[in-house]
Amino acid sequence: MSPHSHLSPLDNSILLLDSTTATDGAFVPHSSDLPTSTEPQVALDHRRLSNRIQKLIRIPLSVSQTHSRMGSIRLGLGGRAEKRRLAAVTSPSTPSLASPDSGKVGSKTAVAGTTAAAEAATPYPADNSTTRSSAALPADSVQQEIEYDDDNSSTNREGFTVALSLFAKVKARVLNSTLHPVSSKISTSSNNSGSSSGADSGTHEGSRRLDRRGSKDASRGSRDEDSVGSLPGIAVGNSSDADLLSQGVTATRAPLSSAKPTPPPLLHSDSGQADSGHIDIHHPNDQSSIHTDSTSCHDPMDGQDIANDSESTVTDLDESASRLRLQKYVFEDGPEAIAVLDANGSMTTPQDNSTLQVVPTSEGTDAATQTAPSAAVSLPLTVVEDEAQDPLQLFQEVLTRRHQTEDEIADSLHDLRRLILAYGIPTEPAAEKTPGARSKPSIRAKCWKLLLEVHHVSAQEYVSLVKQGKPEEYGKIRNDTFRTMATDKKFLDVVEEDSLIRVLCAFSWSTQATSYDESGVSFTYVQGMNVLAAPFLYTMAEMDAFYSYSNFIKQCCPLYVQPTLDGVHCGIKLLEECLCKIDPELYDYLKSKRMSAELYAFPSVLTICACTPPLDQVMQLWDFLLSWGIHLNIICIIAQLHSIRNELMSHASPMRLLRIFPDLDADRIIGETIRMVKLLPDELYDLLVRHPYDPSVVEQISW
Amino acid sequence: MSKEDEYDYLFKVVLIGDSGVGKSNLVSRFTRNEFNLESKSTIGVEFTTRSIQVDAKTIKAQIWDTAGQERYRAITSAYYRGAVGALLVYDISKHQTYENVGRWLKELRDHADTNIVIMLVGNKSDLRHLRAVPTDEAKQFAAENGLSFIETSALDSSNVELSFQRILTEIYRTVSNKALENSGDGIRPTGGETINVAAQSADGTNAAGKCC
Repeated sequence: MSPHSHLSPLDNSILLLDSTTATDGAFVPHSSDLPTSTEPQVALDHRRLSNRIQKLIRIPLSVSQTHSRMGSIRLGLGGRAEKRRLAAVTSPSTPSLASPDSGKVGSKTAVAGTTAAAEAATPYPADNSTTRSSAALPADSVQQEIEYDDDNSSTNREGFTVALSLFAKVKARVLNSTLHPVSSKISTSSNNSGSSSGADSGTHEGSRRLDRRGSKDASRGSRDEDSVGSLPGIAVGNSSDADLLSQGVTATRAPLSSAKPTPPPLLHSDSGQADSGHIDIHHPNDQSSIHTDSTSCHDPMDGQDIANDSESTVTDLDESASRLRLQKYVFEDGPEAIAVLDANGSMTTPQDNSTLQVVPTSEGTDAATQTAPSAAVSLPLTVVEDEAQDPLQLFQEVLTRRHQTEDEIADSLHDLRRLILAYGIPTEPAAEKTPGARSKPSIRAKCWKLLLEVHHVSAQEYVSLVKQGKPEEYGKIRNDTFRTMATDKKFLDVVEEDSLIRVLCAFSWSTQATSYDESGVSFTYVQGMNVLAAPFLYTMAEMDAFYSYSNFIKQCCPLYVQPTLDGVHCGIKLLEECLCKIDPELYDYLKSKRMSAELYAFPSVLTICACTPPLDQVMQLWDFLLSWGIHLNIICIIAQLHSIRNELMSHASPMRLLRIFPDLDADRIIGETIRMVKLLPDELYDLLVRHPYDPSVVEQISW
Repeated sequence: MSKEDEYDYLFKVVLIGDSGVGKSNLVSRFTRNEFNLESKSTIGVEFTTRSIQVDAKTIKAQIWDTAGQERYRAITSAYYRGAVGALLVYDISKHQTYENVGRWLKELRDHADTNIVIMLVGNKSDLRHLRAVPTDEAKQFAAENGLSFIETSALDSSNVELSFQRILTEIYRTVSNKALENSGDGIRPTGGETINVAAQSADGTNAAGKCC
């Protein structure tokens, strides 16, 4: 392996941002900018830290909103990828945006400017209403928002590291169940990142890595989206962001909507049927055909009728659609978003105790064009200090937010990631089962779809894919489906083999139909894909599972399922490299026993640990991996080795132990993974991040 | 050190053949006397061991079970390295799996040691009513290609033990003959590394303590 990793310009910029954010003095705010913090560095106990985290998570979006407008000023140019890149590069030099002496007058100017810029940067005239609506906000609220911005924007970035380290620390604490008082510095704005000391910076390093992946996601995301745009399968056409935003789950909800497009819905319309404004502009005729009846829509392979299934799925989606509407689209996670989020240092300022006024947005404005007020404005800034919050509520809060800009979406997505890291996706109270009706999509299902950027779910498209019948690989697929998770009773209870067959066949058709990737990545059925599809079907309805699975394969780990399994081999190589760095003793020992990772880790690498029971732990591990990058799976495998390290080292033939991995303990593995990640040198980590999707890594690692 | 870890010879045997012909169940029947109708499909490579006695020698078989799909053949060079025996399995009820035997043979010739002992195994002999490959035809094919042949059923366990016994014995004979020959002219190229280990350990001091 080459010691020097190749970094694309994009990667570089991200690194640059990271390091700059962490250390650059440019981020030390002008003293007059500092909110007068009344909160000294305090020792907090565990619970209090948790509250902190909740605060971190409940960042008011107004900050991000303002921030994003500033982003528009700075950049005000076209392509999103380019914008991102530029944002990453230029943001270190922009703290002056919140110039120390800018009073309210300055702020107002900024608002005017930013609004204009936002409009200018909005590539689609149709959505101007969104922007205008913010401009149309009552002056007071704008004022308040800006005040807030003035006070805090410059502190946003240096809160960054602190927040991250804090966050990782709390997570570690949660994992270790350490209830001892923590004498950590909870840095408010007066602490710049440089003051994170020793142990802190270690943890910070860990989470920074995690975040780095997040950033890469973002840049990849935009690129992917471009390529996806050319897919008939995932038809977003050349639609701009606005189209994406306005489309919603379009085709899926079409059956319940009237054929005639109607204006966008009013605020908070959680009743899905009301949202009839989202007609899939690419498939205007879908609506008629989607309404499937049992004769027109059946599985050509088994003769099995999927009409009921898809219909109920449609309903599910429709219900959730309105709730998820604006979160679905451009979930890019950018460096900016990270920085913004960490502005929560500012949450400790006196100002935070006031609730930002809820804006009576819609009144007196044109109802037809009025969009929902951003959650940013309507969310109270205050956070309940001492009441431990139910993670379920926190998730619900993030999942029901509404967004107007990409950055808000990115912020929310980032919040979601953090929530998942801090609490894991909570188990919901079991919904009462009404016969015939499918239960609502779970929080996990929603989260996975968001994390995988599933913007587009079309019953019509899915049905037409299934209708194509048996693909070339049908025999292979059938050969594996009945054996998928065959030892897991829970899985067999929940997932029918037929739906697995349909998903795999539909994926096969959808990838055949398109010359997908310019990099020559193509897809065919490979043993193991059945196992990769299984968690999705276990978690969500069939159509959701199909689209999530498709995005997962295409975006997260395309190289893992190549005919030559390049990505997997690469991952195995990297696993050994990483093990060598993390635990040289164990590495040497296994090597002395001639135990190559190819022997013991192959299944876990290829299936992203889905082959190791129990399934509910797999789910939790996947929550983490889908949030922070599936490359971390490699480290998770090392964490599993680590958990039986003593036995391995003392056992005469360790292969016997490793033939079957110990049952998964997701919490423990995640904790270990976070700890281990920081032990890796940068260039190795960079390879690790890219290996599931970047062919150049495969070329780079020779064997 | 458990008794299990002591052996005179260690032979690496690979199982190959199309996906779904019952390789994993053959192995589990042989090593653990288990059969699972609903076994999971093999991902990548799994391996396990079992020791048997031949001529008062303990022979430890290290059995490598691999996913049958051709997509996995990329990993085969590591897979075949050091293998001294191969069970080439097909399903007597699926003719396609028999037709592919030729391709698997080529695979072996390309990647494995030339002296590898190969046994053609027609599995699922319990499915008599579904038989698609006549025994005689397969037997003749085996003879033409210098393979030994057996039909097995991992489900009712008929011939499973016998098949492994046979191939391990055959390997043992080959190896000990070769060891003799080697001691004669001494300059013959060695086979896979497992053969070397076994041959060296044949001098009375066993190889106990080495890894599986």
